[in-house]
This record gives sequence, C-alpha cells and structure tokens, in this order.
Amino acid sequence: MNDSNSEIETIAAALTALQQHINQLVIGQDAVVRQVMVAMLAGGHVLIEGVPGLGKTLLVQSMASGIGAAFKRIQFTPDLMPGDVTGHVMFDMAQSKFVLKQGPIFTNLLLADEINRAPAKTQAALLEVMQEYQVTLDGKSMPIEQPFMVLATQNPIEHEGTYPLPEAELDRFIIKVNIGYPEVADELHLATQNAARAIGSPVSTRRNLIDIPQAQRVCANIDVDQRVAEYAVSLVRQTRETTLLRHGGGPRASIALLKCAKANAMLAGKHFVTPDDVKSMAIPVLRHRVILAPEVEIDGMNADQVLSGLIDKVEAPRS
Amino acid sequence: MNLDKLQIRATLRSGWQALDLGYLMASRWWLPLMLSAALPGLLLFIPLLVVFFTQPLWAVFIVWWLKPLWERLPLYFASRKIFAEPISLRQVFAEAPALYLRQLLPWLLWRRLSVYRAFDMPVTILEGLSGQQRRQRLQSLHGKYVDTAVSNQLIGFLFEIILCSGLFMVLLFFLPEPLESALYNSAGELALTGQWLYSLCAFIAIFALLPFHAMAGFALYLNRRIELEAWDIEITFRNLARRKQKLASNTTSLLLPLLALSLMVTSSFIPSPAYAVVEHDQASAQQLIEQVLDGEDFGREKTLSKWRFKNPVEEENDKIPQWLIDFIEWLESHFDFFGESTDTSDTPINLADWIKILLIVAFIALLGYLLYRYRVPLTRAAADKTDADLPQVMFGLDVTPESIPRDVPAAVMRLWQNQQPREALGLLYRAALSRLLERHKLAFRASHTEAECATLVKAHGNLGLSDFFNGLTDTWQRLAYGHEVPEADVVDDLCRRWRREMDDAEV
Repeated sequence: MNDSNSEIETIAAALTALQQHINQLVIGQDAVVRQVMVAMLAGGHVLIEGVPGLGKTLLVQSMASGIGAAFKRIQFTPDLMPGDVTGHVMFDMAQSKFVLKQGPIFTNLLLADEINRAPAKTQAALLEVMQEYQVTLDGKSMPIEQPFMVLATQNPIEHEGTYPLPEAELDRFIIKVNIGYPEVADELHLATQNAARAIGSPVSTRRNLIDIPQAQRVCANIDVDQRVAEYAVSLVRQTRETTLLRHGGGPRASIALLKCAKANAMLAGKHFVTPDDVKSMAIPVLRHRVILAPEVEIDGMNADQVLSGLIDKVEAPRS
Repeated sequence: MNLDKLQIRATLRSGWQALDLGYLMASRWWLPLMLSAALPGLLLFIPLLVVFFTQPLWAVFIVWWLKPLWERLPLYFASRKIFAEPISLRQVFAEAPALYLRQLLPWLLWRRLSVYRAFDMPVTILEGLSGQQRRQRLQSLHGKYVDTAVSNQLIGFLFEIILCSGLFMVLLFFLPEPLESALYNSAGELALTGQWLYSLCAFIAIFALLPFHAMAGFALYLNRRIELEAWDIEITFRNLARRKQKLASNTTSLLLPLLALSLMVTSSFIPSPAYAVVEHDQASAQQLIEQVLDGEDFGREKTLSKWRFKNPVEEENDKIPQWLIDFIEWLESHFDFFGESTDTSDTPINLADWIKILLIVAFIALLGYLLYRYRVPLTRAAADKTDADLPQVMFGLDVTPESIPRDVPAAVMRLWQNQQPREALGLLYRAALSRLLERHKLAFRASHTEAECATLVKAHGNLGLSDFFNGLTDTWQRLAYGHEVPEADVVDDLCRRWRREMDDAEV
C-alpha cells in the first residue's frame, strides 16, 4: 500500500508539473486543462465544444510537448474520406509493389478539428480506431502506439452543413468538455503574450514530464470503495429514471464515470476515490450521453442544468 | 322579497340560459362582487404568505380551499341587488361575520368538493336552512338542473386553471431571459420566485372568476324557484290585479250608486241556494272523474316482455351487502352526500348511486395516498421551520442531537480503544455534523458530499472550526474510502480539538 501510495504521489507531482506547463501556454482554461488530463489518465478520448479561437489546438500542442508525444491535426471537411484519416495502400511504380501510406491517425495525440463537418463514414473510421486502438488497412491490423488520445472539437454554432455525431458514437468519448471564453485578466495576459510571439515559432520545447502509459496503469488500480461505486451507478441510473431526459446514460457511462473519478483522485494525489471525485466528473461524463426531453428543450434548458438538478437528488454515499 | 321589484324577467329558462343570465349579472356587478370576495381573501392571503414564505403555494391553496366562504358575500350582495334593494359594500361587510359562520364547517369539510356548491349555497346563505329541511329543500330544487350545476362547477374550475396558467405564461413571455430562468431551478421545477409569481396569478384568477361562477349558480337557483313557485304567473297576476284595480278605482265613484240600486231591485227575484242540487252535482262530478280515470288514456294495459334473472330479489341482495346499504343510509342521514336522493328505504341503489359511492371511495383513497406520499413534507411544514430544514440522516449517519452521546470525545476514545476505529471516527464525524446542524444551522443536504459540507463550514467564517472540520473530513475519508486507519495521536488530537471547537465554542 505504501509503495503504491508513494508511486501515486510521484505521478501526481509529475501531473501537477504537466498541468502547470500547459497552463502557462493555455491561459485561463484551468478547468478545461484538468478535465482533459483526467480523460488522458482514464485512457479515453475527449470531445471539446467551443467557438473557434479559444486555444483548442494550442491545448493539444502544449500537452503533446509536455509528455513528449507526437501530435497531428486533421481538419474535418465534407469531402474528407476515411482513407485521409487512416491511410491507404498505393502502388509504388518505382518499386512495382503496393506500399502502405499511414494516415494522420498514427500519432499519440490527434486533434480532430470540427469532427461534425465530415460525413458519417469518415467519422466512423475515426471512431473505430478510438474504440479498437488499431487500424485495419488492406486486411492487415496495425495497433496504434500508446498513448493514443483523440481530442475532437465541435462548434456549438454554425450547424449548417454539419453531420451531427450519433449518440452511439458520442458514447465513445469519455468526457465532453465545454470550453468558454477566459476571464478579463486572463484574456489580457493571453493577448499580450501572443502578440509578442513571432509567427511560426514553436509553442514550447519538447519535454517528457511524465510516462503516460505507466500513469494510466497506476490510475486503473486505484481503490474504489463499494459505496462510491454504487454512488456513481446511482447517478447514471438517475438519468434513466427521470422524465426530463428522453435518453439517459448507459452502463458505458457508469464505467466512464468511475474511470474519470479515479483519474480525478489521482490528480489530487489520492490513492482512493471519494464521492466528490465522482460528483465533480458526473456532468462532463454524462452531458453528451443524454438526450433532453422535447419539453425541456423547448423550455431552453441544457443538459448541464438538468444533470445538475438530478445530481442534487441523489443522496451521497452511506459510509 | 318583493317580486314586483325583481330586476330580471321572470320567465322559464333552460339551465344554460340561466347560466348566461348569471354571467350577465356578474358582468354588470363585477367590481362590487369581486371586491366583496377579494378584500377578505386578501386579508387572509397576505399573512399566509408571510407564514408560508418559502412555500407560497400552500398560502394560495388555503385561500382556494376557503372559496365557499368567499362566495357568500357576493351572493348576499346579488340577492339584494336582484330585488333592487339599495346596498353598499359597507353593509355587505357588516353582515360578513354572520354570513361566514353560517354552516361554516360543513362547507369547508365534506361539502367543500360538492359539485353543486354554487347552486346549493343560496339555500344555506339566503334561506338559512339546515339539516332535514335543507335536504328536503335541495331535493325539490335540484331536479333537472343538476347536470347544469355540475357543469357550472366544472367550467369555473377549468377557467380558473386556464386564467392562472395564462397569466403566468404572459408574465413569462414578457420577462427578460435571465429573470425567466430564475423562476425555475435546474431540475425544471418552480423555484421560490416562480412559486410566488404563480401564487399571485392563482389568487387573481380565483377572485376574478369567482363572481361569474357564483352568479351562475345563483341564477340557476333563481330559475328553479321561478319554475317551482311560478313567479312568472304570480307577477302576471299581480300586474293584472293592479291594472284592474286601477280601472276599478276610476269607475268606482260612478258605479257604486248604480250597483246599490240594482241590488235592491233584484234581491227579491234571486232564489235561495239549493244545497241538495249542489250535492248531486258533486257526486256526478266524482262519477265523471272516475269514468275518465278508467278510460283508455289513464288505464291502459300494456304487455312487455324482457329477459330477467329468475330470482332478481335474491341476486340484488347478494350484490349489495346490507352493511353497505346501512353505511350509505347513515352517510345520507348525517352528511347529505347525495343531494335529493334521500329516500332510498324502499328503492334499491341504482347505477348512479354506485358510481357516486365508487367516486367517494376513490377520492378518500386518493386523499389517503397523497397524505401518505407527502407525509414527510407535510410533517416538516407543520413543524417549526428551523427544525424542519434539519436533515435527520446524512451519509447514512443519524445526525439527530438525541443520537449523540453527551461526552463525544470520551465515547470516541472508548470505541478506539476497543479496536473499533471506523465506529469511533464515524461517531466523531456524525457528532460534528449534528452539532453544526444544531448550533450553526448549516444548510446541509442529503446530496452533499463530505467536501461540500466542508466548503459550507468554511463559508460559515469560523476559521478554527473550518480547519478542525477539514482535518476530521480528511481523516474520515481516508478511513471510509481509502481503508487507511489513522494513527492514535491523530484521533487523540481530533478529540482535543473537538472539545475546543465544538464543546467550548460559543455559538
């Protein structure tokens, strides 16, 4: 137990350093950075929703530089084909043989920008890799190198000509992060800092602050008390029992919630999960897995508001 | 009651025409009628809002339940106006105590949900009848207008809901979005501001429509009396008599001497009455009547055939248990549930009566269920507000002051020494919550986690207390969720700090 605790403390310290590194570059988005790190530790993918220009690309770049990982970006457009994501096999005239050309999916951190602008088949190609952690090309399965994480973005406005992700595919994202505008002081700092930076200069020097696969393994082994697990499941079940939601979270949501709660506990340097870890991650985990009832939608409420009310109805664990 | 001064045309109307007449009366006298009802209502509503500040819907529910009271003054006012008697609101309010007390309890208890209320109310308020007399009066009044009376009650109720909801919606439409969202909480339920607004809308709807509903019932009552007591004929006769009297008074001076003279001349020629002949006429008339009654129009025989059970009487008795018949008869004799159908001793209970019984049983069952279902909020509302908000159980721990030992640290140390660390820290944490609830009135909720409780304690502003509670929460969480038993000196330190922060601290 003590060895495990000290390991967790070491990883937590490294995670704090990583968080500080990202926060130096992505200013005024501390909560978003923390949630993305939770998703990374839980081994999941993140759906980020926010208007353009809030530093989504910078967030992924800075995270990649912090963990010494490869980073690629795909701008999803209506004419993007599955092969443009996964890669394809082409005939090399010089060598007179078919050669495999890997797509941008073969990376550690992938920013899928405006994922809802690509047609369903292209989205499906990406989502398959997210689930299976392997790409099949020309009948051959190729595993994706770990750590692998997709950060897909969506624009909450301009829905014209988009292909909204189906619920089953949304479920593949472990959390959905809403990214908003920074505070005045943060925006001022951001503006002055970036105005002084030369165009094309690298975001940051590449550092290797933490071994992510090892952190993920340790995170998966964090203790969860039976009552805390029951609390997580109760929260998810509550979304299925209310009339405010047409569709609630499924068992995959319960799994995701516990994984994120573990990661949240680890970020705090704890070797056990508390109900607060579960509660704090409930909305990011559930907000994209639920569908509002029509009357609630007409009333102008959003998923966060409904979920917040539902969470308040669930009693905290009986210790 | 002077029929000569009746302000409406006494003529036979259908039930719906009577309702129309009632609505016309309400439109004409709406302001005094509404004020006579709403002012006393407002006098009660305002204190109720103060008492139920956090649950204003209760205030409006009580006002709604007391509607049989509010309908009395408008009825009294209209009953005077209809006969052109001069009456002011001041005079109406002077009569209010006597009117309100008249059969108060029956109207607020078992007659409150009567579907004939507006129709029956004049019998109580204007005729002052009660008990057997009232029942007989209602029996003769109800007749064919029962359905219209029920419709009036239903229409009134529905329009109240429509107007109340409509007002609320209109306000919603005109409110700016940030204010509008303040009316609802995150779960889509009415927040306190919304409840206040809805209560005000409901109050306005109740008293705006009350004159219409009460006057429609009153008009129906008047219509029935016109029909039963033949007011129209009486008024016609009175008019005829008046006209004749007028003619007579003009010719009396001329005719009187002539009449006296003619009487003197003719009296010697008029024969005395022949009584035997009169008796003979009565006997023949009786015979004639009997002949008519024996005739085809009154004494026809007709043969009908239909299917029926072989032993209908026995089956009827099998279907309806005697105890139920006794119970219904007892209800009728004591509570007048069934209006005019009081005489059931020689007639079997029909389908309509069965439906009434079923509805009453269903209503009682529903009432019982609702009382059971909402027993906790009802009990809390009845109790003192501060006590009502205190949770009894948090995190599965009993946090009532009675469940906490007098000397908490001593009890904790005893458990600790008995190798029961979980029970020891559990007691310490439970006692801390209980003390914070009891003394510092912190608004803990069942959905609050330990960290949220700690945040609330911190927001309370007592730094020492907050520091102690944070330490306790951390130790407790490590034990409860991390299965990490603390060192003895940690527990000892917590017990010492407990005495300083909880036992000795001034509130």
